[in-house]
Amino acid sequence: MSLAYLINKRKREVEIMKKGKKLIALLMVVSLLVASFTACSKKEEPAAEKETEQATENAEGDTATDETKKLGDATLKVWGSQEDQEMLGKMVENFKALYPEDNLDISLGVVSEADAKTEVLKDTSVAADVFAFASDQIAELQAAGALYRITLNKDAIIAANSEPSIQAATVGGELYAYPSSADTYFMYYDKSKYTEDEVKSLETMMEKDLGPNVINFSFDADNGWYLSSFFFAAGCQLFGADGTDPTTVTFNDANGVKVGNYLIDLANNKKFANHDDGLLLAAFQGGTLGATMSGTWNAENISKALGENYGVAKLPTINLDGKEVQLSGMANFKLYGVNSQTQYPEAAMALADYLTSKECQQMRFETRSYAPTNVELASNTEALSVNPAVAALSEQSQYATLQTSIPQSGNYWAPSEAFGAGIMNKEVTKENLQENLDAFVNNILATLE
Amino acid sequence: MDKLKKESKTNIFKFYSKTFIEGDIFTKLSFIIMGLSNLLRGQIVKGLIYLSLEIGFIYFMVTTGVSKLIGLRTLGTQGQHMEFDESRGIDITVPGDNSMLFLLFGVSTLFIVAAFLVLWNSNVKSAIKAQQMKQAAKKLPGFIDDIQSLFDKNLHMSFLSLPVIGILLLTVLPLIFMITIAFTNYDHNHQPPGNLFTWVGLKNFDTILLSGETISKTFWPILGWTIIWAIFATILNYILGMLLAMLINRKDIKFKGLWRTLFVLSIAVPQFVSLLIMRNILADQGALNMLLKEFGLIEKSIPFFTNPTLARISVIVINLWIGIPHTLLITTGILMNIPEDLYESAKIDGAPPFIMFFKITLPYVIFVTTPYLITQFIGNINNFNVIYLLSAGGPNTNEYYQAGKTDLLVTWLYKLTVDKKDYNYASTIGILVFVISATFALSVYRKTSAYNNEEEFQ
Amino acid sequence: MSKIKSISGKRKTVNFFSYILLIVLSAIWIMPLFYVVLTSFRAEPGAATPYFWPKGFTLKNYYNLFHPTSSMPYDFFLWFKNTFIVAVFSCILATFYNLATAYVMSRLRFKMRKPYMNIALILGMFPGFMSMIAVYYILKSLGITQSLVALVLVYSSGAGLNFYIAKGFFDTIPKALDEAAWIDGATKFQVFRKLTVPLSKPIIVYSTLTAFLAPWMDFIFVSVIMGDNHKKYTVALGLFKMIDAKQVNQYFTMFTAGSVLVSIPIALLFISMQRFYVSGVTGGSVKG
Repeated sequence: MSLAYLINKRKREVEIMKKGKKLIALLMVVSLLVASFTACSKKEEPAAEKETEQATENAEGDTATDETKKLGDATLKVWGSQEDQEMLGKMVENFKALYPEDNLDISLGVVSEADAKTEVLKDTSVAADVFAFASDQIAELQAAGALYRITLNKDAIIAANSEPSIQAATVGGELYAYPSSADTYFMYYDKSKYTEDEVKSLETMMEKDLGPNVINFSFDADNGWYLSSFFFAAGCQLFGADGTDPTTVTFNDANGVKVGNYLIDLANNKKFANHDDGLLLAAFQGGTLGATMSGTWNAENISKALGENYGVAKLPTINLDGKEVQLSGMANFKLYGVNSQTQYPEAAMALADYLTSKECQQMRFETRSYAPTNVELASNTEALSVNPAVAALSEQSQYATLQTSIPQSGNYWAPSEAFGAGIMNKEVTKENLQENLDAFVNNILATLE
Repeated sequence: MDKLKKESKTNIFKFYSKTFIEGDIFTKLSFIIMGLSNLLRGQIVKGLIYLSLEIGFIYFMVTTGVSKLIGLRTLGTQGQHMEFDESRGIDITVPGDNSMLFLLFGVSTLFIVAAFLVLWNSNVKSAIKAQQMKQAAKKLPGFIDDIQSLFDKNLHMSFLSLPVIGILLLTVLPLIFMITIAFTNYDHNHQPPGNLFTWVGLKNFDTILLSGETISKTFWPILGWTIIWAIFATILNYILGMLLAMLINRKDIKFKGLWRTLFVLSIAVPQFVSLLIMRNILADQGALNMLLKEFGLIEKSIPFFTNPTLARISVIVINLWIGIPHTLLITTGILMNIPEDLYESAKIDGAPPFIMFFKITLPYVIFVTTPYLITQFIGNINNFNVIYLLSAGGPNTNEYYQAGKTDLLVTWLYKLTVDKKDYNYASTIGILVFVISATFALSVYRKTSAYNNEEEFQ
Repeated sequence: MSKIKSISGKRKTVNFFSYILLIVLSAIWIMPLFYVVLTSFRAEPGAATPYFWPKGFTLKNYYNLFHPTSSMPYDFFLWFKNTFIVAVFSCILATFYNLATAYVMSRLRFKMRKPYMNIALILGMFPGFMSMIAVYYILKSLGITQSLVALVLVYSSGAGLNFYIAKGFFDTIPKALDEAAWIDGATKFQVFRKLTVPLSKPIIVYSTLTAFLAPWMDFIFVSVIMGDNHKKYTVALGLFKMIDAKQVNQYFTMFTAGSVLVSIPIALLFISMQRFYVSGVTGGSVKG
């Protein structure tokens, strides 16, 4: 009995709270309106002055909005990964300084880009107003109605950021997120084992004798993220030419078979190893590894492990049936999105816009080694070369293939892992390759209904 | 006892009509105005509690309950959508119905209604009882008497109330909510808040069990492996753990406490630590393979987790590392309690040790620990941690849909919910697992002496 | 005479092999734990090494745990404190739930008893995390998400279902004792408090210990409940977040250091309580 009572009571309280909240919100809106009318009439002149001041200040930061510098009071929350918290804190302070007249209450929460989809979809109503997420989540977030379409300042954003990054932030022809940094993988190598010329071709690398027990080249072969680079190199398509067709995957065509054969040969080569991320450091440190594919997140540790011999480069080319083709990794982007349920859409959009501005991307590059998507920053090779890993990433980006983000693309990982593992443990042979490729593709395309 | 129960069940309506007919006007009115009979016969506090709860319930139903029940039927009609606001230059989100919340609140309301019916039932009983006692000129128990009875005659009510509230609120209600999802189309295409989902009847069961398509091609093989795994994991842990306990219990072994501690230490380390470490040690390029290569024992790495068959063996064997210490703890005491004379007489008959183990030790321990064994078996069917942390279900295979060769049903449905957001299928699979385990457990448990001869123990 | 000698000779070899077996087995059991400890002192970063013995040793991994910086913002002490608070309160509640339910099922007879016992047996069989999302919204409607209270409730609420072992124990306490006390005019509650509880030390220790452990091990429920509020993380979730696939090389040695710090108190607790644990679990079978 007391259960019913408790629930009853609680429900009533919640209802009353809800009603109360609505009432309070309404009151606030009304009073705000009144206040802003009176404020406008009074303070018009100084506000206008401030505007022009700031406009000149921000003339260089090209993404700054030209529109009014007044957002109104707002309470916002931003999500970013744990490591980014301090940097985000600074950015938020800078943002607030741009709007001294507004009462902006901005708090931070810890949700990494990788977890954003899960957290946002768990409960959109309490999720952050502005959140960072990985670009492969955008389709599902958009489909679930969790993202605001970007209409304010849209052209400036599109102009300021690289084309692939804009493509990654676009769903069905509409822009749904603000690009913040680019992410793909490239090659790390030991300079005492390879020269700069040798790392251009995988064949050259594999032919070189680096001594007993040394692995010439490794990558995480049972991971679709890396495995795809070989298929993309051969011109195979994942979900059609533009990655939006859930019924087309061409990994099992003639080119796919060539790739399969190439991978089988590679797996049989004793100088090759299937290293996952965790093993790289020790192998580099022990001098038993020539080169590998990985991303910027390992840069600091690998550079420590290799010391003077630390080398980075774009991915090598491979010789596929007599033709040299460039390995083409998957490119992913970190994006900022605005929660569709935010109370303060304009303020949230302004904040997201600022967090992905040139200024902030520069800061991100300097403090966290994130590769910028801002064209001006990304094309400034001189500035990027301070951080060789980011420079290599930028170079590789030209050859990268955009990671698709349609909902069906979530189906890619398990089958590709299965195929990669099959090759590595010799279950996939040249005889049954076609069958395995067909199963691989069918499984990517599989739907439940 | 059983017969009585049945009678009371079939006669529940008879009870009400009889009560209604025999009851005086107060009792009759108590059918509608709860607590009236108690209130007017001197049990004021009790009566007031009934009455206020009824008023609370009616208030709740009128203000929210009814709309929640209607929502449960449709699961929402108006989805969230965007409208472009020219003046602000942005879309404005027009909030819509959230099917998931409709479902949850609807189910909660049903719970409240059920709780109210229970309350109403007790009210009717209490009403007629008050009348009868008054007629018999007995003193009615006052509120203080009622409170006191909660510490004596009705101790079970006070003792069970908090645990049962906890269970109802955080186990049963979520469970029923999840079960209802199996009858909806709440999959990755119908994610709230942007989309509505709705009732689809038995479609999901049909897809999984009968369609012969993608998902059912995966379900049956994984079910097979889940059962194999549960059998091996349970029995091996049990027998080997018992043997280890016997070994330590041997008369001549010294430092028994020390040996036990060494094994039991592994329980103290969180599984997500120890299992992740195991995975690293056994990886293709991990410490163990490297060590064996250095000693020249092997040429190529042993594919502990990459070869499908070996991976299955690996997870079972590593699970021994987790499970044996538990069995050790459980059985040590039991083994010490086995009457010595049983062994003595067997020895005189010249029975070899392994016969004694199978004829005396094993039956004895099994007899005592059947409930534990059942829980272990069910626990292994649902053993999420070991598989998820150790192999993550891998190696993946293209024979299955989004699953690997060591995936259990439970880890597979975790992937379906967390990675794929296909809640409806996950929930359907959950129900199937539940039905299998519950049937098994209840049928076995009802056969055990622990269940049947319960009263004899005391 | 010679026969006795040969028996004792045989016994000696059996003993010898028993010890060898025990040493080998305990080595296998200890090795992974030892590896965790070793890794926690490893100077070189990275998730795995192709060698067993670290090339360098350091205390830095432990130091970093207690000195969060902007680049390593993991506040281990805070998580430890949270977990400890949750563990203490949830184990008090859970122990009470557990004992109360077990006592009621063992000693009292009422209508819903058998149904309750059957339901309790099967209720735990539905995969728990399936209902996480519902639990989250229920806690939300109570207004207690992202709080330690919610965790206490979640970890203790199931205790009323796991009464079987304690019930088995209570079953072994002769009912005649209760009856004698009733005749002396004691209420049932008094019997429970003054008679049963003092006799049940082992099972109380066992229940407390099991309940105390849960918050240190779970990383799934807590992540759903705490969401973005990392100040309310428990150690398990905090540690688990550290080794998020991309960061694994960066933080793995720190992760193991944290794991060692979590494991030490639990291990000590286990060792000191082991006596009770053994007899607590099996006490219920004495009369079986």
